[in-house]
Amino acid sequence: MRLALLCAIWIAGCDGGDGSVVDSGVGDADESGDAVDAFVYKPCPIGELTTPAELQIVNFDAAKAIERTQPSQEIALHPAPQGGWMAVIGARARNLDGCSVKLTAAIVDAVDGQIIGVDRRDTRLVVDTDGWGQSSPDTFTNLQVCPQLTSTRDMHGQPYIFKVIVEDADGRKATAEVTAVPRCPPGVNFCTCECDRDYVLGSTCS
Amino acid sequence: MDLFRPKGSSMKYLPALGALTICLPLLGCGTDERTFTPWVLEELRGDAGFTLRMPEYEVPPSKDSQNCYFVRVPDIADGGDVWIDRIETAINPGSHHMNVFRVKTIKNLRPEDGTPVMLGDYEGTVIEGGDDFDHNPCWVSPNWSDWPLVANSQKSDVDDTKTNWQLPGAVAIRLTPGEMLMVQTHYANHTDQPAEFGARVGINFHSYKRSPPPVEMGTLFATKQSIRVCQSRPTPTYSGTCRFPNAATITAANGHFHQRGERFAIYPWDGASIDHPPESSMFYESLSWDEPPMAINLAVPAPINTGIWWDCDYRWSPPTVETCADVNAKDPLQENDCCYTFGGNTDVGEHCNVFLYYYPKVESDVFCL
Repeated sequence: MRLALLCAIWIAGCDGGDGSVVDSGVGDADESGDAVDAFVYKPCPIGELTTPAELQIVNFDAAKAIERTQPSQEIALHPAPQGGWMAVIGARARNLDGCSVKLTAAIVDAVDGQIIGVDRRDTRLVVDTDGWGQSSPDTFTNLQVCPQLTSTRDMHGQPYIFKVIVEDADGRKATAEVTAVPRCPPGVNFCTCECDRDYVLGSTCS
Repeated sequence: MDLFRPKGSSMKYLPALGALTICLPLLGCGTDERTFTPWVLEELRGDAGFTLRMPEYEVPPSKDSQNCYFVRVPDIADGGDVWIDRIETAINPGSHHMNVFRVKTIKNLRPEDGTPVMLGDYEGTVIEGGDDFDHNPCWVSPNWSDWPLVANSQKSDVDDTKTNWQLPGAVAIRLTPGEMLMVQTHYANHTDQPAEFGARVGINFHSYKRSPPPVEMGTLFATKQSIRVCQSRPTPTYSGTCRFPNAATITAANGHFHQRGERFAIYPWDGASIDHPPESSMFYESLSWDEPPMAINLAVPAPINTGIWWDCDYRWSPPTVETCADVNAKDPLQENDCCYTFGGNTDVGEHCNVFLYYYPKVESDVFCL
């Protein structure tokens, strides 16, 4: 188990090299097999912490490559293991502690302003060559888009507002939003069926 | 609010039993084994309701076991809807969950593929999933992704095997004669949920017999499927929201996660803010993955265009039966960081599921996937 601890520290150290989370074998196992509560938090500032935090929205495209989310663009919907279709949304940010960021994404009806859904999780910002920190792919939000029992419009091919917030442990916070169009994978009728306004779970999609 | 809570101490029995085995011959220790009185439930017949009994079987040590039983709702109301306003369950200790679903879209979990079995008075079929969580259709959750929940219990306590859930007022569950139900039982015969007395489950569905017309209860199932609890990022929190299709009252709730789950909390959500609801508004909390409470007799109002917000807090710990190699093998991202990801096995997978009951059901049961 000592070896595992050393490995964990080594791995964590490597993460620190790109400006992401660093810890000291948090939750590793000791000889008894119990988790070790030896968390040593080490912040990893990205940019200048004395200036306001900045944020850009990014998303997975259809091939799961990361792209900057632009106004009016299409946002690819991805299937989830137990059903449903997700927009995979992340953050590019700077001027905050990239090791303690809570990432919140919401999909908002652009017509009536209703918040359709929210996903919040810890994200790990990895410093890019331009000095911004970008959510590691495994810490993007998975924002459920369909099916959506309470929607008043189709959830595909229609514009919706994607709102994103990042906030670090010290309260540095930035908000951004963009209006974009969720899009089912081409030819996947099951997706468009489940994303139709009048779809009810359990009904048949041919 | 009432909570079905565990009685007595936490269920770290197997180490104690191991020590007992060692010290008994040496020291003549007193007996400290778990005692268990087999449960008895009355048999419901005629218009009183109906009774399901899942046959008893043994769960191998250190193994999970998940079975899917299929049975049709009997015609106990002369062809009319069957209204149920009281659910009784009796479950041998060590159960991880027992869920009752309505069967909807059939994928790879087919009732007709099961082995015939009598579930009390009624003919059914069973697909025994064993611990083949990678392949057996009873373990593969997409197979029941649009099957609405009817009722559930996570009771695992050796001293308190029964639940008696009386729905409030005129609220009742509507079933249709001939409608296919699936009863899913999951035992995890590990240290925290020992099942040394075997797996055995009984359910009584009591008919609604009061005079006001019944108000139909709906269910809400919400889950986070992209969870990752990794060794290098050991304390993540995942949060989500889910909206009701109409103004509703929440009457019961429980949360479900696995061994790395530390805290499960549910709050009313106003549907208008993406800020976390105030802690003071929390109406459900579980700090116990292996004996989570079920909150009943809630009366949480959910006005139109509102819903719930839920949090799942985790703390990484090593697998207790399997290894990190097993955990890594099922990581779709293959990060080799002993990351627990979405999955039904309690030792190598994690969940973040809300089971919630509300009324009136207007349009549909609610899923937030």
